[in-house]
Amino acid sequence: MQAEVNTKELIYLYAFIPTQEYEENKLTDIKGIDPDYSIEFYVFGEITAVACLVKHEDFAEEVLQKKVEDMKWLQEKAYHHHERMNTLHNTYTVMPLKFGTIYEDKNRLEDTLAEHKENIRTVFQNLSSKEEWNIKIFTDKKAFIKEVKENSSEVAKKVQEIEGLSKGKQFFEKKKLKDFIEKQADKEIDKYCESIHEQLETFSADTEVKKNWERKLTGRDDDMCWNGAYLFPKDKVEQILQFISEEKDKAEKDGSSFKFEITGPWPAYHFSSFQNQGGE
Amino acid sequence: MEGKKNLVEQHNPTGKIALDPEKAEEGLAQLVMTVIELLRQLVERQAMRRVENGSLTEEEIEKVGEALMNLEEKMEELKEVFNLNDDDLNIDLGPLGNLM
Repeated sequence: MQAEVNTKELIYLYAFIPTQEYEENKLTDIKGIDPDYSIEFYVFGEITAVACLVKHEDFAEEVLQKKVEDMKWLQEKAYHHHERMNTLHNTYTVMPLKFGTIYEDKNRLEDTLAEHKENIRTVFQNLSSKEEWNIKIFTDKKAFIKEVKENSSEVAKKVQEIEGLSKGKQFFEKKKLKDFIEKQADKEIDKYCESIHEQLETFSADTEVKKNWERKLTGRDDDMCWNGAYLFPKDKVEQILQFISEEKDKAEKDGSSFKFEITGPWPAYHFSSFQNQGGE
Repeated sequence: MEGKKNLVEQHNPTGKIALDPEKAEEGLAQLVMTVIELLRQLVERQAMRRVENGSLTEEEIEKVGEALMNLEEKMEELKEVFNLNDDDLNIDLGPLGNLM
């Protein structure tokens, strides 16, 4: 048989929320990612799926793969996803799903839910009364290198040793010393960031250390040296913000180049994996 | 000399190699310099490896070291002539990271 044209809608899934919270406060009339449809709440026992119908012609797997290459389209839709997640997050305990999570129909969705029910319930428990925050630390790496160069007794000793060598050997030893200084500076930076992280860990229910972004991504003229996602209990957030603010002041007073960027609260994107294979 | 001054004024580092027909000279200089710098670094690393594993005599170390030092100095001069900095000679290889 020839394949028929599929005119049936697909289901775009935003998030899971606890049904109890949904019953207590029902949000209505929110425009979906496909502007022709509104967001719907499908109740499956104690878990409610927040979803929206989308047209096959726009969101079928093979179409979507092409569409995400269109930066304008992607930006608009990803922004929508993010905005809706914030709306949900303001009202419910939200288990956010990745942008572009699509199900063929309600039955498939129900099957997935049935399979992972226990995990989803555990995630709800873990996320309840907690918020995700993101903490980034930046520093001027060159300033650190300069500092090590000027103040390390080990470096001073090596410089003296090198001076006594012949020209050709000096070249290689200088290169080695440059590497050594850079590694030393990296160590100092890591030590500082890790000490902050360890203190934040004591407040956190969960943490995830992420990859540092390059300057091209941050658009800043200093280097990102720490990028962490933290799941903080809501009642500790004020204390944590206070801690960061004190560390900021301390860094400023000491004349160090460490700068903090703290953003949140976010929907718990980093702590919502319900499939056992872990996050991304 | 005037050509050089022109280059200096127009130079605006973007982290990309400019192959704009109007600025072909500038783009070509950057491209050639990038390739030379890549080769220079490879030679330097290879020499360092051989010094470290002891496969060079004292005399050879001296000779190679001095040659590499002169080469590095020359590169610095050329970078100045073409108004390029280290970032200009780096290439973003996408998922493989930066060249240098």
